[in-house]
Amino acid sequence: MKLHEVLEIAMEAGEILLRNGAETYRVEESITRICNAYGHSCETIVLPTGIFLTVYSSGHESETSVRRIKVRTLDLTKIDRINSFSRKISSHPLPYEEAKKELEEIKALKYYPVPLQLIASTVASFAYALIFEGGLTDGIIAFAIGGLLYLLNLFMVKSGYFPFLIYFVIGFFSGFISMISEFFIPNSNAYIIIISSIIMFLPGVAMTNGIRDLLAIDTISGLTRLGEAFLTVLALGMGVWLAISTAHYII
Amino acid sequence: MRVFLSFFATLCHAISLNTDRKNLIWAGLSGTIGMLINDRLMAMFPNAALMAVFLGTAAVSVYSELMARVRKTPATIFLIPGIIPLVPGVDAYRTIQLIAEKDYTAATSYGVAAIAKACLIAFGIMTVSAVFRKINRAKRTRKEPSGP
Repeated sequence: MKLHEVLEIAMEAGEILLRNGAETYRVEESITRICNAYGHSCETIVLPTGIFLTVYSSGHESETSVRRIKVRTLDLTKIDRINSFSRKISSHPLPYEEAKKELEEIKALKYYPVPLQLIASTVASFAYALIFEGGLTDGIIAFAIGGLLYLLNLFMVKSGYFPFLIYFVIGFFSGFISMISEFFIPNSNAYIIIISSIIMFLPGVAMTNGIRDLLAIDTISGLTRLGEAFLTVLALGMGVWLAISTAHYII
Repeated sequence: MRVFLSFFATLCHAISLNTDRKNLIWAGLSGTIGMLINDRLMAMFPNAALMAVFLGTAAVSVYSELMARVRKTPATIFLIPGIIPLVPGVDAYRTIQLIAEKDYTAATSYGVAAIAKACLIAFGIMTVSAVFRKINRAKRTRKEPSGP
């Protein structure tokens, strides 16, 4: 296989991984594994916002490519698939066309449909309300607000707002509606509703990946991701704070 | 009951992270295990909330790393939704509420508890992952001479 073809396959696989929320060391390992499988050595640096990759041939040739990644989403299925793809390639190297086709297939994998995700986030909010020792009333209100926040998030992500602004708005809405419903509906606790509706937006992925990157001595990526997690929590918390202090004046 | 609920909550969280269908149930179980350990410890030692969170997270991490070997997928698939029920949401909320009410002394004690629990979740994951990485590396170096 030609040098630029190896470069393309490895880069494509790396991009799918990074784009969908894989840890930095996993991206680097997969890229290296793919290049080695085709008999080339490579050197790669992966940051949360881009990939640098140089592939060397056995002679003195080398090819380099840089890819900037701007939008990042979460899709654990794709990470899983690319992971097994890179393992498969390292035992039986596929020819270029087939590997390319397989990557395209993985790229085209769909999310769960929106209604199912909506149901998932409402049911999760309901369950968390009961876990945090709320009553059935809290559960039902959290169920409704969880759905509302999911739709709000979906809309704002589609319109392409800045992520931390989205979290701030979500925190504010959750806090404000909960405070209002605590005032109007008896037997409801605003704090249980707020926590259980917001919990789906906590940066679990950023935190877990940040720790795992730090363990792999990817200091830049680790600190960046932990910083991202911290800022997300801060944005949510500030939104809730603003809502509570506003509600204290109104009600 | 809480254990049962945490299964559903974690499962739903896994759906929103778009986990593969065949791993959903196993992802749900990881939340259950964390919750179970956390609740048991809280019942036995009511004053050791920090230890309960730490061991709960460690249990989730061990489960995730083992399932990653069994199901041949990245451990994060089980780890991320599993730790969410252990997040100190109540403490964090109380902190913000007390700050809003200008009761800074009480806010500090809740705030410190929330930060400590969040850090212990991080260290719980870190401890277990570090041990498993070490085991992995030992395996890999042993294999190397026979490989190409």
